Amino acid sequence: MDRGLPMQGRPQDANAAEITSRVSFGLSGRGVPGGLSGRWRELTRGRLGFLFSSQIALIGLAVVLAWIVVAIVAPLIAPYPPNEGVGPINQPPSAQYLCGTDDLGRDVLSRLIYGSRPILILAPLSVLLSMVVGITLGLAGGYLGGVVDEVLMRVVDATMAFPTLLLYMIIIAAVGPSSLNVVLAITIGGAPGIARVVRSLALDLRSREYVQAARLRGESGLYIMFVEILPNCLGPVIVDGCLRVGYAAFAIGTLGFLGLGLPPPDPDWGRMVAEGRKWIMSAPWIVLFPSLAVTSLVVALNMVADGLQEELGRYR
Amino acid sequence: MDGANRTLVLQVEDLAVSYRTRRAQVDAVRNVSFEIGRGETFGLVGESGSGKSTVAFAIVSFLGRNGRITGGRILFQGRDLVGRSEEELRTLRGNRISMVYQDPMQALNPSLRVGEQLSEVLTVHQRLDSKAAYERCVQMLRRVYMPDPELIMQRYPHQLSGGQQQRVVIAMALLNNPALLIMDEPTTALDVTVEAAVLDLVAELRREFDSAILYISHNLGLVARICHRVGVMYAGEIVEQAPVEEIFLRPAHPYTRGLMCCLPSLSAGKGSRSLRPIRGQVPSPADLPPGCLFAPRCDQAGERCQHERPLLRSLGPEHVARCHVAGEPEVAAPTTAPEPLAAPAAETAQPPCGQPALRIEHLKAYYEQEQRSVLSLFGLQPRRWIKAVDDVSLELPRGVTLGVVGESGCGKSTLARVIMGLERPCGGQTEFFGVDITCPLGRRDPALLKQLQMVFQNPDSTLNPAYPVGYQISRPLRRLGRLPRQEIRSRVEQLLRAVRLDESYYQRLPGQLSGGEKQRVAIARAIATHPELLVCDEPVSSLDVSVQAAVLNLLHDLQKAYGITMVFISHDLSVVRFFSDYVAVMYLGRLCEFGPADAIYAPPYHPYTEALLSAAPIPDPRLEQKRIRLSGNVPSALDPPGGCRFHTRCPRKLGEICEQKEPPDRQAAPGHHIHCHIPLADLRALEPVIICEER
Repeated sequence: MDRGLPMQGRPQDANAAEITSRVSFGLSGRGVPGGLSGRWRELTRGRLGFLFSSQIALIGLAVVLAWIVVAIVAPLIAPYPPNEGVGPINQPPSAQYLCGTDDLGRDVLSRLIYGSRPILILAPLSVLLSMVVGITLGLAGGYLGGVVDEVLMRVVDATMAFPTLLLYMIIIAAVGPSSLNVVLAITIGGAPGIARVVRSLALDLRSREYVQAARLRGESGLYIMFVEILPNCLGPVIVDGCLRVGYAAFAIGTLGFLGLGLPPPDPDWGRMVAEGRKWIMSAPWIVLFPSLAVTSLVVALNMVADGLQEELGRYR
Repeated sequence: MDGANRTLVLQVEDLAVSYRTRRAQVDAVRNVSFEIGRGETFGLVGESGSGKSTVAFAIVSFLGRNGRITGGRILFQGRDLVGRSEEELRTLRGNRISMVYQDPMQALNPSLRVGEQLSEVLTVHQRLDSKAAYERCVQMLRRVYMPDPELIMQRYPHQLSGGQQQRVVIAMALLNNPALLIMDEPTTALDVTVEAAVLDLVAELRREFDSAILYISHNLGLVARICHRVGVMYAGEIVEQAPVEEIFLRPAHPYTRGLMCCLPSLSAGKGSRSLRPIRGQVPSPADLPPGCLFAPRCDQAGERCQHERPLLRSLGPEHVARCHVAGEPEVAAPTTAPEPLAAPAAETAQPPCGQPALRIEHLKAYYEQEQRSVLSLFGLQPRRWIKAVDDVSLELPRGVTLGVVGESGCGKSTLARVIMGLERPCGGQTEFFGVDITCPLGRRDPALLKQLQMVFQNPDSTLNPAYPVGYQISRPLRRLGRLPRQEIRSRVEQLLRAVRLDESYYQRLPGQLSGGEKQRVAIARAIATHPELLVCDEPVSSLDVSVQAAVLNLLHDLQKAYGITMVFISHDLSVVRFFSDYVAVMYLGRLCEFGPADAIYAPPYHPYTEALLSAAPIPDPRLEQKRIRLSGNVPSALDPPGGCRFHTRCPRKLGEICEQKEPPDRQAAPGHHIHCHIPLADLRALEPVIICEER
């Protein structure tokens, strides 16, 4: 039946089909036409096409990719070893020490470059883990409903009642600071939020007719949750995930600042800020550059998420 | 209607509207011209995507940020509305144009009482004081036949039924005494009985208020009932325009003719004729064919139609069509015999004969009403039940179709879901070839699951958007079938052919399909396991008529080829007539009438069946239809009225006996049950609802 503005809807419907195919992780494989230009076109129009149609997302992606490259080639581009005093202490930025030196005479730029490594590994890892946990809880609650939902959601609520930072500190105080435990803390801190999002999506999706069709052919609950429902709520979860990687990077920095992050002396951005705060009046560059680095990564990830969100919202 | 004293209210001349999308500019409407005089109703019909709503929005300059009028003129009372600023428009138009939309709930503010919203129109536009405004509003509500207007004024919109809401919206539109009333599918969201009442109201108001009405609808039957002139829109153009009798008696454009052939008729039973769908789809406005827009779907199209765009040609007084071949006798369409469907493989064991395929006995399905009071928290309040299906019994032989009709909320969908096991009954029994299937889905074994399948209503949610079509059709085969892996693909392709789609659909995602195609895939998925019983819950009600016809034909052919027993649920009596051997009429969870289809559509009727039939829109101005309108609303299923449930609205109520005693189950003929207190002899004496005039 005719609903609303059909003519306006139509051209978009065609696009909607495309965007679904882009973000739905369907099973269809698409051959890549030969040649570099063909491949480029495939990339810009294909599954990642949204990044190229949204300027914001493109800029964000560029910054994130730049940091990833920096982290990978750190030994090649760092001018000095990160953990050794290589010059006078508290030197302002100069041609020799581009970002200055810290209170132990270490080169801030080199520490910055090496410091990108733990953040870029641990932040996505912890978000990925919290997504696995959160999605499982959310799907179970949303699809099964009833007592299961009630119990799971009360646990989730209880976890969410703690201030996030306090929760991290309690966990790390209990199990001791290490990179693995930082991941554990952020996973536990992030999973409840994701569970909430997934549950609300699953609640809506479970009444869809394709779910009923699956029930009618006797599919198991696990099949319906993970095969029928999950792919259709991944879009919003991935947008949410992008934001969370940004928060996680911040959290790792904050934990580093509080001395609960990664053990010294390896650099990470949060620890660098923490250590440099004593000198903030006399040598502000020690704090400034790592802060800028964290900010740039978080803002860039938010931009990617915004672009994704906009693209998904337009075709909803 | 004479040219001499006809005052034109609205003239639309060569209107063109385009929308800017991210890819390109889309010309949604082109070359649309029509005029409406005082006291006239002009109907604009077309399928979804034909641009009819866009025309309405252009008239009230409400095209949204990306829409623009790119050509033509819109003269309202002789003055052009195109290209004026917001301020100028306001003075030109004043409050002389009103619009009624499809969904009344979107036009009413849920947080304001009806009275406040209505009187606001008067206090703001006409600067009446609130007392006078209140009086006028009560008067207006009375004029739209709203019972207890003072009471209604105190209510919030959600406390009214859909029909009442739409009446409030119409009253609101009429308060300013508009010269032009635009109605965009005003009854699409309503039940037939309510729709009929609203349409009567519209026709009456036009006479009384003498305003011009632009009536937009996809339903030819409605247009036949209330319009003077009709414009048929296709792909953004008006392809034919004529007075209503002309259009229905002598349709000239092949598209108009096609639309008429797509409609199942209330007066023709199953198998008496098959519907002729229009092949293909409406072209996207971004990608129009070079010649006649309809040529790719037209059976009459010649060489000229492929290259040259036709202009509007006059075919008679006030009858124009945009076609090269219009008026020429219709060439018999080459009837392409559909590919015979492959007979079901021998793997299905023939069920024992002699047993009814489906037997339902005293079936009850109640939902518990959620209560929000503190008392109920402690279990101190009695639990309340919504009686969705209450004591329904029927029997269905193998290989036939049972049509289930009734207004929304009558329990027909619940009945289907209980049969399928999606919902658990709280009493009674369902039997499938003598096997008890009252158990929930989890306890049914795969052999039984295979036998019972379902086709759903909403094409947009019936397929999982994440997986390609082929995978979704093959899943039931993998899960329930005993087919070797390498044969699955060929079997899926065979199923795709059976629903008249080609193999290229195997890899497509649902988002790339049209509504009709999605519904076909859903049918293929449902018949993949060769079910014995197929339950179709409103499978065509959200499809366009041309597509609806194709899907109905498909289901019909499948039933013939596979001998499937079907339960077909619909609110559309003509569709049920086309499709069913047996019909069950439901009201408030109860069965009113059950019997062979031909018996249902002729006297003796249950009074409710009679009312439903007389409310159904018929796309033929020659047929005379008895006018029975139900008053009031469907009572709540929480607290259904005692005795006969229909007594609160029954126009043939006998008296106290109807309120107190359950109606008896009378057999009018073998297998034809009527649940009513009125003696059969009296029911037999009723006149048929539809009287066919001399042809």
